[in-house]
Amino acid sequence: MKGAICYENGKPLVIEEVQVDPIGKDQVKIHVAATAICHSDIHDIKGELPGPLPFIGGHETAGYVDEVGSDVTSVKVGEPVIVSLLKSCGKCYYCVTGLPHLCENMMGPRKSPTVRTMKGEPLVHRGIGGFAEYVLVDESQVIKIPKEIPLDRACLLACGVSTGFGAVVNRARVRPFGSVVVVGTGGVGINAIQGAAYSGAYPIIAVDVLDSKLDTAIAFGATHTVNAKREDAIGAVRSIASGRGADYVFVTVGSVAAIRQGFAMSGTRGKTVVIGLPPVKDTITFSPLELIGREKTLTGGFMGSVNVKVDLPRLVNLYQTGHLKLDELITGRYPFDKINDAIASSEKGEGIRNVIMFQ
Amino acid sequence: MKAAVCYEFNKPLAIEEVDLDSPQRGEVRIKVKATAICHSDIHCIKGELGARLPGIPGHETAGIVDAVGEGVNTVKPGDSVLVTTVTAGCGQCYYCTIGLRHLCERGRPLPFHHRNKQGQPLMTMAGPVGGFAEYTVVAEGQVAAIPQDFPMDKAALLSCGVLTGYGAVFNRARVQPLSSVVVVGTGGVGLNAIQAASIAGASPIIAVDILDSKLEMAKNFGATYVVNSAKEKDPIKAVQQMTSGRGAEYVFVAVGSAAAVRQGFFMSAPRGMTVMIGLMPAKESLSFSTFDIIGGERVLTGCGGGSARLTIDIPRLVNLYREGRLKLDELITAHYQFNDVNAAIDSTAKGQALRNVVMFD
Repeated sequence: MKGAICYENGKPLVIEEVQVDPIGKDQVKIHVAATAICHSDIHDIKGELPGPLPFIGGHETAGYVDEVGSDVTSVKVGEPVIVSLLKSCGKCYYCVTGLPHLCENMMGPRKSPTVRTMKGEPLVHRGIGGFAEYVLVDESQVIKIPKEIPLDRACLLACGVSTGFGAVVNRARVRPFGSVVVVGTGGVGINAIQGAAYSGAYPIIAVDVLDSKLDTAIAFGATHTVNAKREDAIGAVRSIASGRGADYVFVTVGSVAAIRQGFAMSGTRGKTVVIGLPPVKDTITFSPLELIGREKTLTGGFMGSVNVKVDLPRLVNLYQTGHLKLDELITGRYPFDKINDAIASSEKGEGIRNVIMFQ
Repeated sequence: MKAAVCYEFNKPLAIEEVDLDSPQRGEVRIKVKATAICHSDIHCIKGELGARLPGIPGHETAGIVDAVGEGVNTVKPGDSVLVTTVTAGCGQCYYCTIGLRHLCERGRPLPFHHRNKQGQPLMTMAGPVGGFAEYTVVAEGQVAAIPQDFPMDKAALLSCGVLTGYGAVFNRARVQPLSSVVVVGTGGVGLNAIQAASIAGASPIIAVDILDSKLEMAKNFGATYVVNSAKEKDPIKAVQQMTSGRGAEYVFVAVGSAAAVRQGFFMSAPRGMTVMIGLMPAKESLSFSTFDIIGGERVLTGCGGGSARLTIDIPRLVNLYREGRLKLDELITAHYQFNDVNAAIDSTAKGQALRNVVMFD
């Protein structure tokens, strides 16, 4: 089988023959049908997130079950599935209390690498290695979906959609008529907006620096837009949100300045959820007085706080019933051998999601 | 009438004759019976909280209603009351309407009601009360009626330290039975967070402080474990070991320092909530790595004035005390006569007292 390997940061990926390890008893091997390109793939390739080289990226993946380990019961060979980054043990405190995305054993060392070069060098250090024809993952990461849903749409649910939608629905639990601000309207932000629209929030204020993205935000349910390049964004949000600031602010831009700006857009008792990851060493600094006197809340949302086995089928259902936009998220489809073109296009910010189609 | 006036930071208060404005519309004049000394009084007297001078500190106050202005209908002359820095709310703004009276957008009390004999205004310090005076004038919303037979020194404690610790637990965090609680700082507010956590059925309840004597007291108020963060090599790890390796579900930081907030935050478990209750010097700022906030989905928030609904919470506290479930007697270290207010302040500033109460008449 072939995989697209990053040998050097910032360089084009190299498509070459790779080998998959023998399947473990609790593992599932998936024949990949579609993998979308997420911005964190680009950060990885550029070397902006720490991690060893060489590696195979790609984590918004859907495909067909090709082989199952002897203990696997939830899927069968031939079934279509979404593959999630979120591995969970099912036994720790967080798994037992229904928060498997915080599984205490998720980050534990892999029992063995799953994919290697023909020389035996490991290639999947974290994530799932979705830029390859096959992936080998834990049963907990595999979610069965109906046959009717196209896999190029389904793969989007694995990360971008669930991170944005889930931050609103699972983490913040936005209530109908709650006022919402979404800072950054890229692949995650746009889905936070549609999550807010689905939840009955009002107003839903999209904040970005590009008018073209703000137009897209309106198509996804934003009721107001603020171009932070052209106007005093904090003042504009406050005046839209009854002079008080917003009940919920979602910051999907990975920068400390955006987090500070978002926090200032929240009103008294408002909740700011940080979703976008700034560079690891950056720190956010703020005055404690706003936290105490105004009783504001600052927290994070990790992968949309999704319980993948429950939430992803729900999102599939929303799509099938016309309540969730997925078709509109796809900018371009590329065959596997054009993966570098797809990455270059995503990096330029030309679209929301480019999807790599296998076969 | 006399008041204790701060003319210069870090200097003893001057007890002198002052004049007091009559209560205007929506205001109440109080004959002060007891005012306890809170650490934020000390911060203000030291100039650490940006107070304007000259001024009258004191805000944990109880007394008797002496006169009421036009439109006042919740209390009448002769009623026993406590006076708080929180507000019962206008009842009409957005926050009052949604049940968060302490965040009322209107009706900020006037900054002063007293003047010295030279006619100079004397600002209220550490809250709009002016409790180190024989009489004061406050907004009706700051006043909560208490039973006539309720002791004034205990009532004064309810108005700030007790309400703040109790309210952070019950109103802001809404601690669940059997959940794990850490309280960093076991002074006048922290001890009350501990006893509230105990009433709420939390377990374990871990007290963190740097003085063994305070930690002993914390046990009397319901702490099930104590950590001396000055002696313990790794206090965060110690807390994690007491909480199944995860950290606590709720952390209350009742110390006014950014370092304590950081330490408290790292004592919380993934999804845990850290509530800041200690006011810290205005120039301190908080720094976190964003990874600290995203990865474990920890929550950082604050609580002002115990997020209190005065008309609901004060009667509850009164009842808890009468039922013997709320310790107030044990919070009082000493009583002082008004003339000795500076001695009472010194003793509190040195950390020798939980609460010193200044008694009038």
